[in-house]
Amino acid sequence: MKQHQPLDFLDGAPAMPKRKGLSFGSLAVLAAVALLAIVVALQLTERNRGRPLSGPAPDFELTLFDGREIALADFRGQVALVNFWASWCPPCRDEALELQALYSDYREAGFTIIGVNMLESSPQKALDFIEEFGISYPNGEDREQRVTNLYRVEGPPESFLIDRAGNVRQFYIGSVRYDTVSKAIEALLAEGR
Amino acid sequence: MLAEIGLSALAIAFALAVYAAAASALGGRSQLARWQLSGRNAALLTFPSLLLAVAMLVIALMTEQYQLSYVYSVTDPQTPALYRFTALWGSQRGSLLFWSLLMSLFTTAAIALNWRAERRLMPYAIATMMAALAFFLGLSLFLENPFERWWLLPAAAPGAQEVSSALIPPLAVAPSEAALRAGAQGLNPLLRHFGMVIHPPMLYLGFVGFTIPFAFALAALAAGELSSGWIKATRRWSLIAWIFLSLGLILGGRWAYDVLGWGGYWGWDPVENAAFLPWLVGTAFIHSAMIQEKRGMLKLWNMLLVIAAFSAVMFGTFATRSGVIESVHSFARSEVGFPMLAFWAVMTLVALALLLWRWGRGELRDERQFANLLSRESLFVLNNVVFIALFIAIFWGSFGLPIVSELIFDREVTIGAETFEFFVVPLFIAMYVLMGVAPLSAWGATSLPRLGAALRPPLLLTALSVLALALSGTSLLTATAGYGVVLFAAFVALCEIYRGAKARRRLLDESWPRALRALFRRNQRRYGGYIVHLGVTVIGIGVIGSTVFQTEVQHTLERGASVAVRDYRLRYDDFIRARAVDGRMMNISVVTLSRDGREIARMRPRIDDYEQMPMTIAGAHSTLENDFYVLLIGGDRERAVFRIYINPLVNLVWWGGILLIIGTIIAVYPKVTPASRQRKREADE
Amino acid sequence: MLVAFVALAISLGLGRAQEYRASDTDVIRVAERMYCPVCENIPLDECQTTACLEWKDEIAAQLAAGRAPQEVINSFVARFGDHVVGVPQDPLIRALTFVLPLLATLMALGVGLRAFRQFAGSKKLRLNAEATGADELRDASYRQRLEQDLRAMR
Repeated sequence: MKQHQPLDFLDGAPAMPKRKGLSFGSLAVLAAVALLAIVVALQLTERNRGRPLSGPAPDFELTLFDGREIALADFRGQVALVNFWASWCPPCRDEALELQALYSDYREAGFTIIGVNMLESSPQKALDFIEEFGISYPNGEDREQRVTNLYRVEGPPESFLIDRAGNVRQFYIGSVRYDTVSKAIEALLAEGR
Repeated sequence: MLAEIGLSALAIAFALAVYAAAASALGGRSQLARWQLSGRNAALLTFPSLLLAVAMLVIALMTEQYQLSYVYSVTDPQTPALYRFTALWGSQRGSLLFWSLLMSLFTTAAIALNWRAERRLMPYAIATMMAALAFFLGLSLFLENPFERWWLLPAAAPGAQEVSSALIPPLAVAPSEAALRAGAQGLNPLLRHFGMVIHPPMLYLGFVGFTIPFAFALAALAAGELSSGWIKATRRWSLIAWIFLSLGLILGGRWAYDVLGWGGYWGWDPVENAAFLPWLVGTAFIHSAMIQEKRGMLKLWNMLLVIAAFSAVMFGTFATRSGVIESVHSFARSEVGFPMLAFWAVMTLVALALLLWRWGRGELRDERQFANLLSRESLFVLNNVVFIALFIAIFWGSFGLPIVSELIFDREVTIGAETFEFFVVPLFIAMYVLMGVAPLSAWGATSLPRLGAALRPPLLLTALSVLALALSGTSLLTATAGYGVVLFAAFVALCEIYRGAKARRRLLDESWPRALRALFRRNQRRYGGYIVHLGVTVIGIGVIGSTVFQTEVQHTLERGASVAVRDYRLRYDDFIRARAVDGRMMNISVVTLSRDGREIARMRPRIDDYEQMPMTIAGAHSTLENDFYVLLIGGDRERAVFRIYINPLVNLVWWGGILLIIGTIIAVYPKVTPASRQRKREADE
Repeated sequence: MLVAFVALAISLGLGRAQEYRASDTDVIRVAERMYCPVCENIPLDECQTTACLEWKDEIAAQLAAGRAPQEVINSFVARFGDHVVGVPQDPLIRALTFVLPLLATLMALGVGLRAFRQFAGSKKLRLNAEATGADELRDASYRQRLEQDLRAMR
């Protein structure tokens, strides 16, 4: 009886693995791709988030030019206007006196303005601007553009009017006018404690 | 009327694609010819349907139908006719429809050319192609419909009266023609350039083209047909997609250089990188596929590369259209983001799962073994590793890290050219070295002495060139070394062509021209490939020259004054303000360039003022040696600010690109020999 | 005598007033290493928005005041964060930027080498026999075609 010669081209080849599902390594690869998809989806959600035009105003911290540190939450109970500005922006110059007037008129009634200085080339320019227009409300430089990003600000000037409960109620793009904003402020102040 | 026909055609195409996908999949599974043919025919019908839809949109654009909100947003009454046409792909909706049209075109071509040859693969392949097409048509139909029209709803509350919708709302009235004309927005002025005519279509052809090889690969995995059929079909289609992608990238670079006014042609912007990533994978695949065809090895690698190419295309188009990353090229934010992400994830996961399952069952085994480290197979594997490394580095820098950094560390980062160059430069050097060594190594095995002997002529030539460069005053050691590596690859290609032609002359006593022509004709792939390599080396020389030795300065000149830059002199002569036909205000400066006391060029760098943004158009004097490139930054008649670039050797980048395209055409040109004619006759019977 | 003294004083004063003014090119050298804070991925030297022009003026002023280019860049990074330069400054993120791709590549190389060694081992003897004939392989198909041509010509 002839000896059955093994086919020699099968020599040395590793044995065929008998496996029914997927190996651990394979599952790891698939899991990695799925993880990437999840991470990107999270990022997309974050990016799609637009300007906070209503609902709770994102809280932030600001270091003022005079060194104090404030947070938006400190002003819960008051009506606040968060104003984004820069010294090189002409509409910001237009609205500076209007804003200061609003501040001095409604301050006693529980209103404040928080000025966020953005994209300024040097802090000195901001300080010069503040001095030029006699601005007395709290003002600070937006470090690392955190507040600007939080509020999805595209360019100065932009202003967000926030009620006593901390919700955004109005959004203004471009320089604000005293008459327009004062009506809104009075309405929000009237919403009792 | 146009919108109704277009919308119907789009809806029909979508229905056909869905049906074709289902029928073909069923046909593949059940092997029933009835379903397979039905699916195929439905797939073939998608193209005329989409052609009709696109034709409607084009007619609407050309005849100024501003009631269509797409026409309203991308054109205005002043837009010239050419840019009315290119507005088809000027914004999200039109470009999505155009993309679908091209996908349908490729599918029709694939069916026409491969139906008989790859009969066993075709049903699943068509199912894959149609699934992808159905997805994009679904996006067009339900989310970004190019046939939406403006309607007025007099009955609605003020502020909600203007509505854009595809279907006619009840009680709606068409807005007045005059109001529409007055409000039409027109396209971004940056896109009103000749480059817009050809760069996006080429890129899209490249992107969409990679769907076909992916479809064949997926079909092979689904059907279990994993021998050699799928690699042949895949390689050819990959080459075609690759040519278009290469053209698209080169044209994009040229357009950026000509028009966008920053003296460069590649910015490492995420969207640019998104187009580069599939090119890298495609290049790796084209080489690696050769190994499978010749030696039956690297099957797993090749599958991975094909899947990766398609995956990269889908991820890239997702990233561009969804706004997930910061880029100058991004489309406006839209709702297509999540669906596209889901599509990418599903396709990639399904393909990988199928691949890993088949591999686990041992169906993708290599038919031969790796001989030694210097064999051509091993060097090609090393080549794959280099390209994969490039892919990882560029993907991580464009997408991975910025997303991780923002999401997890809450810090925004910019990954700039410096970071990319850190990775890319050593890897490209490795690529050029391999480009030189691999053609000289043999299939199966190569001993070191043999390889060394083959390397001696090109190395000698390289050493001589480097010496010549060093003596002629090329100062930087790094640049000279870079030139050396690139020239090495060039000399290998040239030496191989020389050897081949010399062998023919010796045996057949042909003249040099005849020998060369016969050489190319009989070995299209090999020698076409050498021309492509030559093109890549010419590009490499151009890139090194224009990056490392670039001069950039900025000067303010009074009228009549001049400034010296290197051994040139630039004089500011005049300033003209003029209004162009389409309403833009052109601020044109006139400057004169001289060298060694002789005037050599008069240039007109200018700033065009469109309503929203100014556009800087450079003036350039181009020679093989360099480009003297001038931008008008600002100023007036009395004094103007100029930015001046001297880009040495930059024109080699474009010439190298042309060489690359020529080489690819030589390599893919269908050979009509008596043998192939006979084969065709047999197939038809 | 007095006139001479005044003249000298004036000329000295004028000399001091002609301070170093940073040239446009100097500003570009710094600006090309920075990125526009608003526009996406545009280097600062190319960006022509008002904000970027203001920043370039500030760079010019700082250079004129004698600060080194790197100090100028650092001052902007301190105020606006990492994304105004092209390489992440935060050490952890910088490590992630550079180390991860390197690691991934090394892993890929490792996997490739392991697969290679797994398949290459047992075949040494047969391969040496192949090696001498390998170079013929390179020209074999080509030579075949040549001989076909020759036969056709005869």
